[in-house]
Amino acid sequence: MARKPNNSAQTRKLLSAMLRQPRAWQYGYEISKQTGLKSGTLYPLLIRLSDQGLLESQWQEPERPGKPPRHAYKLTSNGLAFAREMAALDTASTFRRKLAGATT
Amino acid sequence: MTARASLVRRFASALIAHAANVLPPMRSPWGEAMKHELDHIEDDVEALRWAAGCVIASYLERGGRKMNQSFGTIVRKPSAFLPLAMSLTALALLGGAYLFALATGQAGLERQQDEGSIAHLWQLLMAGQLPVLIFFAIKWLPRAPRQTLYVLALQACAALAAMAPVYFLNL
Repeated sequence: MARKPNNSAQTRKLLSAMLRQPRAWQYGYEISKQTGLKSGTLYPLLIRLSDQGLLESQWQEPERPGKPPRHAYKLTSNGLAFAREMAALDTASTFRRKLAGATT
Repeated sequence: MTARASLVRRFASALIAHAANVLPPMRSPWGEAMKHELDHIEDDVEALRWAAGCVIASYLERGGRKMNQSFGTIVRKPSAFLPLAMSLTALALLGGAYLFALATGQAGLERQQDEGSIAHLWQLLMAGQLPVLIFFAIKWLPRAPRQTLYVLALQACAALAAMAPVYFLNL
């Protein structure tokens, strides 16, 4: 059974990185560099998002010869909607924080 | 690539192979993904960090899968219910002996100079469950920590219940 989508800081970070290039296939190591998430955090997140149908994956031929194929990831349409929802929530909470800071 | 770097890279490869092995079979494509990604990391130390993280990820994933086992499933394992049954039998022995003593006109159970067969049986039951308990903890704690702790707590309660009459009746 797929676990519930969560909105932990790490998940938000991952989704926001994937949202920057929603149509592009991205590799694990590159995502890790972009988000600062270590592989120990990144892979459980990728696995869970994939189980929930928010992320699709495929094997891609390497750009350089002699290297093995790479597993690449992209948000599905549901994943895209969820990532946008999370981004909107983040924007709203940042706005609220700024507003509270300005009024105090 | 220096000899030291090569050693680091070899260690990273060994770690990532372990990470892939640890994953449940249904997750094997993820293990392959981790392994292949390592070959695209140029820096050896960075590769080692990546591999170490993958080991953690694999254990988390394996633990998560096994954590799906419910309390009911685990408590039905022989190594879980056997200590419970032994404690309850020990308690029942004391209860039976107490009732028998009352029925035969004695004031109750009394401490005897030479321990009787009931005392020996009680000791055997209590001591005999220890290895089973240790086996259960070693086997199940890494697989389903929370549920195993609940079962261990239950076993501890049963053992305390079996020991309580000995303490309170000063047997």
